[in-house]
Amino acid sequence: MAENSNIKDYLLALEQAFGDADRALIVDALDDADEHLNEMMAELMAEGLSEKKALKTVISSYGSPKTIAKEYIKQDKIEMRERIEKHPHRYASYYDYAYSDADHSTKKKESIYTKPKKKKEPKRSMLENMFGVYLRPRTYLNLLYLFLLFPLGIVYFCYIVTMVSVSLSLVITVIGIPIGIGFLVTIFLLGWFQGRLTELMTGVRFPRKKRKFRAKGGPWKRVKTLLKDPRLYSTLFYLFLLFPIGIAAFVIEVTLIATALSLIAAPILYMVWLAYDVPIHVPAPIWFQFLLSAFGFILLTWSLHLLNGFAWINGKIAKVMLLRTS
Amino acid sequence: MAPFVFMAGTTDGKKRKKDAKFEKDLITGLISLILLSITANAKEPMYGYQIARSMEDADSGISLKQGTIYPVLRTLEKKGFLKSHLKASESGPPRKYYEITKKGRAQLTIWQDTWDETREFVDSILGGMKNG
Repeated sequence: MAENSNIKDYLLALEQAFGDADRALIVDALDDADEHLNEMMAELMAEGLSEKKALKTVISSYGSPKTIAKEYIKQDKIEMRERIEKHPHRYASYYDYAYSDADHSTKKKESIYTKPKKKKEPKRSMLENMFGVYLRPRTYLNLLYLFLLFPLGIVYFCYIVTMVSVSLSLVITVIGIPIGIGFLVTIFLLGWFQGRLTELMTGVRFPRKKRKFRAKGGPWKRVKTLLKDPRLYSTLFYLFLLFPIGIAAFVIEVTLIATALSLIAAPILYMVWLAYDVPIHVPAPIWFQFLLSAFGFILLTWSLHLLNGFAWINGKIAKVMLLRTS
Repeated sequence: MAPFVFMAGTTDGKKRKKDAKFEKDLITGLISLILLSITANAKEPMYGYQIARSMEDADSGISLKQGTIYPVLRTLEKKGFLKSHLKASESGPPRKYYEITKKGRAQLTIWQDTWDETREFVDSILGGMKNG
């Protein structure tokens, strides 16, 4: 369809105009533009305008990719500043972005508004950086996230393997084909769910809107569009990948935390043994048990940082895989 | 500096000149009020294109790129002033329908009052200049 390919060109230009902006924002903008341009195109062409003319009108009234991208980024920065005002620490990493004047216009224009003064990122002391990890709610959300990846990975894995084998083996009886297509459509839904969960838990941003599968034309054409969608494969692959990632996350998390906690508990255990005369050979003196305990505390602190990092990396991987555009 | 443009009155027979930059800055500050007001007056939920069209209908020479309303709609939704749902459409992607919330109506009253005050203030100053 020619009109579609032209709107597609616009969307591509829009995506490029965003530069290295947040992917969630870009996806939102592309969805909005896609809806609006198609809507207006259909109306103008129904009025009898030629395709070429209609497209020109549509794009000039919608705004150039640059203008639109700038507007989204501006709005996003305003929102981010409000979030920073409310929770300065939680959004500390977004300071440079929210208060920078960098936009995507080539010319710097003077505004009649005074620009907000750049806020200094609240400085955290070394100690706060090191041990604040216990106080940040994000830490516990991240731990929960890594923990959840394990059962989720298994569920996705079983679902994918079952559905793929069922539909492939039933292809001979034709029934496998609709089952397979239905299965592929549900992949988008799972991808959206995983994205929302990741945002909630790790703070890595994802679009709110569900990406619905849509295609025009007959059933055969729709299936072709579905099979050509690169996001289908990247989502499928990511959900599959969650199986090993989930196992790894679970093992690492449980091992680190269990080791650290048992080290911390060493002196208590020692005293319990002494008190109840447990006939176990305790090799070291009491001061050594306290040394172990201190070491356990350091290990726990270090582990929390490590696991936070691990959750963050997972969020980034999820973002790359789930938000792929052609 | 913004380009030197003077606003000529219609009385002197000249074509009205506009300062697009000034207009854009003004509208930017008011767009949330405008969008909230449109959705408040609507009898049923509206999708983005409809909202853009209704602004066009009320057009009095203000030129605004239609695409620029969407990021604002999303912000209003995130703040809980609007809520939205998706519905399939024949012309292409599903339409996102926006509807004002109770919180949005409350906010609209506040903004409306602020706007009234501001307008009176500006008018009184401008009127003073004309008469003085």
